[in-house]
Amino acid sequence: MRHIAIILAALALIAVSSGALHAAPQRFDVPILDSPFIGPADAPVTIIEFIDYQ
Amino acid sequence: MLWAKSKATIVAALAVLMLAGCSAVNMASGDSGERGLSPLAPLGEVPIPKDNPMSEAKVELGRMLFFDRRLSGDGTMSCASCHMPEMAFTDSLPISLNYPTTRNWRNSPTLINIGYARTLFHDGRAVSLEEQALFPMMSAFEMNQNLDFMEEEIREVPQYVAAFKDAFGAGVTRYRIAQAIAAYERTIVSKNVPLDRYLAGDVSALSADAKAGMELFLGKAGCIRCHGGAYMSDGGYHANGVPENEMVTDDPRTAITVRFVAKVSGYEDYENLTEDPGRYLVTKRPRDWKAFRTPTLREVARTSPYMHNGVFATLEEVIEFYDGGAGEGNSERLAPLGLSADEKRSLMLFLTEALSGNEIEVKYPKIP
Amino acid sequence: MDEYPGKIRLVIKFYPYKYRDFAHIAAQAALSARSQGKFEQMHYKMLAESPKLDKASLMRYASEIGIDAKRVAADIEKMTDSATIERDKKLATDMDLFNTPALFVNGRRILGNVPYEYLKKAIVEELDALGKK
Repeated sequence: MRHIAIILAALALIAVSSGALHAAPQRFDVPILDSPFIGPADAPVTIIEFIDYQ
Repeated sequence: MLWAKSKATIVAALAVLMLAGCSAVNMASGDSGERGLSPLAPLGEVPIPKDNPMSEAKVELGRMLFFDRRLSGDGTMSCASCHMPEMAFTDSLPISLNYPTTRNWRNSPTLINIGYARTLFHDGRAVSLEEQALFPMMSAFEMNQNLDFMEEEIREVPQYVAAFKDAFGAGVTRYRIAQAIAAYERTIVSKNVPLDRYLAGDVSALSADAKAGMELFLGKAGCIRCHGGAYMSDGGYHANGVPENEMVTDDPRTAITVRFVAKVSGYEDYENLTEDPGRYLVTKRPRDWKAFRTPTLREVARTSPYMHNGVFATLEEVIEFYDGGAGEGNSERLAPLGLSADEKRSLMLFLTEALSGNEIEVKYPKIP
Repeated sequence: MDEYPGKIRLVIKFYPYKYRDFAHIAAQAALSARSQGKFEQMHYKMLAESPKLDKASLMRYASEIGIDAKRVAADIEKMTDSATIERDKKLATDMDLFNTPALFVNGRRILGNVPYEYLKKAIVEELDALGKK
């Protein structure tokens, strides 16, 4: 009984802590359109930068 | 009922034990905050100043102004720019956002539960929300606005003139602008977090690990010494030796801000200043050199990065910092805590699990 | 980008601040260079030389990276790509962005002058997440 209780507590803990600590980041869908880019078109990470050169 | 009583007794007993063990710590009164250790407790009602009573009309007006970029010189910044609702009313950056072409020098604190704070700013220079609201508007590196000009900008908008009549029975002034914003801010509250439910007697509100973390918070880790009370802050100022943020000490544009703030604060040697003196700029007392206000820990999981200069990106880093006895030469004579890895984890879980409530839903206003 | 070769694509959108004299022509110069096949070089050149971005300097940079400076000058006169620039500006204001730089790392918004470590953390998290999937 005690073992079951410990396992349940651990599972509950994991569930709670995952929720509290790793909330999914908000993602924005920014249309790339024909903007110029540097790096491979199929790169896994796309960084869109709004830039003011000055 | 019995459970609640014994929990409260345990908390109080631990508080007394901590107080007894506290004699080595700087017990100076006044700005160092309450020295009787305040046990953890649920938040009561938000204090409302007599000269700025709440009303729906006032809160609505304050909400509009809070999000209105007109309040900045070039119309690009509003209060919400650095206190974004979706980021726990911070901007999630180590150093807060700045007015174009300038640099800010401190982290943007959360506005969640700000109505309970005794003073505002990391150096406590404002004693009310009303007093605080105008500072960033005037600040050259934040909203950079001229208040005389701003009043006229607001007066030019018929909906605002009507709203001020509605809320105050009077016209647009900078003070009423601040009062309205303060009224709105008093509604940004997170109260019924798991810790509060636990303190009210719901023993299942905290996981076993979080409970262990709470015991550490009250005992071995000693966090309660400064982060006690319902608001989880003693409202005092402590120089903990937090490391400098390179963005502040090494960036020439930030150097401008450092000297500027020191100059307008009446710090004589401002020309040579390259670091953040904290509360010293307000009181000029040597013991306040690099002392910063104790923030609340409510909703701390959502308000990274941490410290007045955002120098710790995670709570793990904060716990490591205090476990190591805080920074060199800290005025509190904090000693290393000797926490085990498991203890650090439990403490972390307490801080994140017990103190985080539901996401605060924000109604974005229609700005006239 | 040097730390993670081949893993990052940097898309540039133009958001010249309304009160900056040279921000708009610099954006045009970047697009001009793109039409001549040397966007990347012009981009980095202007970042290195900023804020010295007056028309004469821009023409000099164009020559330095080996493109036709006169064409760049002509583009600046006509603001050939103003539609693109205005489109990017509108996108930024529609998304309520008023601070530059504004970055989106696989859609995750990061505003202002963040320390490199902060940005790197987001990139690493994205790479990890995709690696796992």
